[in-house]
Amino acid sequence: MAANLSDMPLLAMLKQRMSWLSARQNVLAQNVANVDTPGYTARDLKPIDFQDVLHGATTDPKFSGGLMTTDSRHIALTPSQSAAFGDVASPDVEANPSGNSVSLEQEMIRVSDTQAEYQAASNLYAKAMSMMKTAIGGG
Amino acid sequence: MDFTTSLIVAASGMRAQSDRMRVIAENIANANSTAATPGGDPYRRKIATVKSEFDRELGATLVTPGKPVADSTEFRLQYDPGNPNADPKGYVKLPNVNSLVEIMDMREAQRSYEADLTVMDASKAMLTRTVDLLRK
Repeated sequence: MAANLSDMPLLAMLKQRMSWLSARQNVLAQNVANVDTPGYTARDLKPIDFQDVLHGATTDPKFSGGLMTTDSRHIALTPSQSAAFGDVASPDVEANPSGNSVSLEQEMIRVSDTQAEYQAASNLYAKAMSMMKTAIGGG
Repeated sequence: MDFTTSLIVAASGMRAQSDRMRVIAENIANANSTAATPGGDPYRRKIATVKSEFDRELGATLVTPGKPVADSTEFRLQYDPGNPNADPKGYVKLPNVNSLVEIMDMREAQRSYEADLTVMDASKAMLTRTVDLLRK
């Protein structure tokens, strides 16, 4: 049995969390860069639904939403990461007279929030790996 | 890699802000530049513009500095008959630069630049964090 590490439910969930956070960081960078562009609307990513992730992780080992392969000649299909997370106009900001709706303070809070959550996820990942090492007697 | 995209986007914002800063510096430096010929027009204030541009290869919205546009407000007139550039009535036209406005713009550009820098720092820290997983 070829066990792929990223097929483990915990690691797969962390992987998805980290991809989401990095995609969000990308959207926030665009907001901050466009802080003086007239007519620019601030955007943010839709939060991932924990129930969905948990459901996917516990019932379907390939919860990334791709096609299952039941034959060695099948080609696995996984949706591209950026297409998977939809972005939306961020709701709580009022546009200034030039039509720009980026609030620098709000964006800074979001950036540090994303960074902290990414740190948490990567720490959990490292912890899971070290537990695995303990289990195989390597650590 | 996604974090590299964030870094590129933040860098484009910083480039746009520093371009804006250059235009502001030109305005402040030329706040008292009169015309070369008597009665002619002095330095006209420039306004920096930025526009956003979707980069298909990157899949992100970058910022590019636009062409500076001329400020069409009136020139200041000062009675100074001794000035070599004065018109026959003794008035000299001075540039339509208001240093208070320029300094306000400068602070705004500086603030936006710092915000871009913060985003860059955060992205870099997250990237390092990911690479650090290899060490554990």
